[in-house]
Amino acid sequence: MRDYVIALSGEAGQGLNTIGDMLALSLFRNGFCIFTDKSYHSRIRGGEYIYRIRVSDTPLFSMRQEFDLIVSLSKSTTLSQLEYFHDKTTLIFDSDSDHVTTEDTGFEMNVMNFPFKTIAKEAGEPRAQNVVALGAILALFKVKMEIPSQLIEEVFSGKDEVIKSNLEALERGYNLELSIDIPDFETNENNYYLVNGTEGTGLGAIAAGCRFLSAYPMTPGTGVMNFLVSRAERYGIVVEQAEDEIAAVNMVIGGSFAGVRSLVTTSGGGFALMQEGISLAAMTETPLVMVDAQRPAPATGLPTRTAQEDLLFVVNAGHGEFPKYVVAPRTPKDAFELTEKAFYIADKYQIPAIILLTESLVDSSATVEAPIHNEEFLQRFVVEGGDKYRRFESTETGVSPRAVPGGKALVRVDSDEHDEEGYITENLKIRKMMVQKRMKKMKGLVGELTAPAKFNLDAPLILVGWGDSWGAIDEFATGRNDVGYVHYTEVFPIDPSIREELEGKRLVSVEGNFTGQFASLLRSKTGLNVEHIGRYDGRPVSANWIQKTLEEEGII
Amino acid sequence: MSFLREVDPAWCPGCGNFPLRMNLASTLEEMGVDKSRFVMVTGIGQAAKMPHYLDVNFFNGLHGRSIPVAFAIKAVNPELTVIVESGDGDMYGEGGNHFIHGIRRNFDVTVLIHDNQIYGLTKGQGSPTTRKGQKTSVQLQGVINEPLNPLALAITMDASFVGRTFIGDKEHFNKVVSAAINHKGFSVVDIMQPCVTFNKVNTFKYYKEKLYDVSEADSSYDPTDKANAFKRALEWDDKIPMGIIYVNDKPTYHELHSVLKKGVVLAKEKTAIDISAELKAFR
Repeated sequence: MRDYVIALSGEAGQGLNTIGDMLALSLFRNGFCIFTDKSYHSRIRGGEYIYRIRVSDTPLFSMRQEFDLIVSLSKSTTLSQLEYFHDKTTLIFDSDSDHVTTEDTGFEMNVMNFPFKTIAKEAGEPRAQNVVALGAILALFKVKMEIPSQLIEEVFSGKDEVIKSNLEALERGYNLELSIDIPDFETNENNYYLVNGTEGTGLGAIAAGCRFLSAYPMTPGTGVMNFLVSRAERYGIVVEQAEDEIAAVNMVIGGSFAGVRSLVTTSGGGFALMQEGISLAAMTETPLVMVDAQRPAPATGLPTRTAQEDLLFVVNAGHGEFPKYVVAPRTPKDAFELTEKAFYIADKYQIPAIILLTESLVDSSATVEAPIHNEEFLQRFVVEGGDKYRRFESTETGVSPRAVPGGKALVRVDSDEHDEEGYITENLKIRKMMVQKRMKKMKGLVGELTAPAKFNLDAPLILVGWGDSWGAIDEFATGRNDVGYVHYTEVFPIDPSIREELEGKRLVSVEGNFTGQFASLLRSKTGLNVEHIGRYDGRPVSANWIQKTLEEEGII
Repeated sequence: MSFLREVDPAWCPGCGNFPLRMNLASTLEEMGVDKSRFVMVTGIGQAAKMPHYLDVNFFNGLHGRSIPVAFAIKAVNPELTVIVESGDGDMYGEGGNHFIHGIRRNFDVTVLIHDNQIYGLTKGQGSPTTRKGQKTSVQLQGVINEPLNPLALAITMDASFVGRTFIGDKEHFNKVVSAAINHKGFSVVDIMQPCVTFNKVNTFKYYKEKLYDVSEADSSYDPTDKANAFKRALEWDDKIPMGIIYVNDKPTYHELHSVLKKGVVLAKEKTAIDISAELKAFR
């Protein structure tokens, strides 16, 4: 697998995000497969900001940490990244701000200093230093200049003078003609889409018919709210910024009770505040769909970094006993499809369905095939009801007919234990029946699960994974005959029948946490012995990290 | 159409909730409210049990959280008449944040607070409206915190309808509550009622002697005069104001919201949205 990693490095506020997006999109539109990620501090100005783009012939879904090319606007940020340099790394530095030499980096490498700001000034727009750098990089990849030119025209639409000077800056960047060896990547006749996890989740929600969203802003979960609000007018979606997470989850339960597919988004700390609401949805059997975009915790943790630390918390969230459905997409395409499924499962079983994302998934754009919209997932399972309607009627499946207020039936729901009509009760026989009724849904729910992804299960070592670690695990295992994997995107409930396939194998779970939460979940549901390796420094797992850690632990 | 359910409510004998229930049912009946399009949303407490003793659509949710639920029900289905029924602990204590922000949203809802100035269901602790010095099951030496003034708070936040009534005056209850339900916007009605078991200070007699209607006392009373309404709201010890205290006819959430002002009823929209055109933007 040929690949090449470009890093744009500087401080927040230097426009790296804009230029990174333009670079990524230009490479993608030229037919390359790319994967991006962002490493940044929880601040608006200053601090370090690294935008990485990994270019490859076919789609990849994880980042390689070592840079091949770093374009830097800040000396201090550059020098803080030395651990990711190798002896073939090329450093391009903006010499108008400072100067970097191999003495600074401490080893022999290719360092080029260019006066980006001066060049931009000559083009008539001193602020276009990033565009000069953009041109210089795209020329290396032989990307047709029309592609970034069109993006510049879109970004600065209506400002003719700015467009003119930026196009001039772009051309001057192209003309720098850097001498750096770049693999000659294949270009695809592009049937791919460039989507990040936020967009995948947001698109999935819209396609599923979600028309109400409430959230309290919390990084990295805020993106999904922003995405839906940007389409609110077009599709007729109400997005309400709540006063707190407790209000947000209760609003979404209200919207759902009244008959509209509704979504609440947050990160771990906000999710913690929503737990009584999860329990409320369970007791009132109101469909509830939630997004938890995980960041490292406890407490406020690392707001802009990634982790897989909320799994057991989310699986066990809400007081009392009740069924729930938890998914953890591995790619932005998965995020789309599993979000649609989460709405469907929540409606069909009248339970909480939780979409577990990570910072790395929501912030990373990947080259994906078209997400598959499933028409079946639009079924609402809502009945009209009549005079004799009983909201919590006992049934074989545990699922009662759900009507919404405003129709023929009076709909009564209560957070207290209640009878079939929905009225509060302290009759303990009814209580026992209601517990059984709610728990019966688990059986149907397990039948809805698709099997986990499996690769080379005959190998002596089987890695176990869940969520967005898939890209790294797949990359590591591909091409080795001594390693296989089993990877989950539907993480709760777990179908215990997997035991037959995995029994007797050495199982090592690869996770973005310290304690091996999925290993412990799988062990508790199947009785299998599962070891684990965990990454908990705020960075996503990568193929290299898996290799190094397995070696250090003496596993390979 | 009767709004009463034939049932024996689980309140203490002599509880102020009994006449409140009868007054409310008759108000709704007299107003000709369409039962199928009426939803009551409640939290937890003695007041929040109300919908179990009526024949209505209801969502009896969590302690303090009735307003967010009511907001979303109304947002997605503006054809419904939504009433929140709550107590002083449920609304002014646990739900205080939502009370404040519900007023800011000014969605069309009527919030009825059974204010007996004590916790009933948890047995006699001080509530946010218990007066200073009153001894309770937890505040053994007497309450030392300042009481929350619901009318003053609501007027300060510019709630679009602020009223107070008394369970012992059926006609007055009917007048204020029906005006609140007819009012477009966030309507707050603080309902004075005794707790016969746990509050020996704020009795039926106490309220009967002190409560007076602002517009009966002063025929020129102007409920749109915010400063004057606020001044009235501060009255307590000698005389307690009730009636329609403050009204500000301002645009509702629905009238201002870019999607909802078009009159869309999300609860009746078909769910399918074709996003294939949207996907093209990601090529």
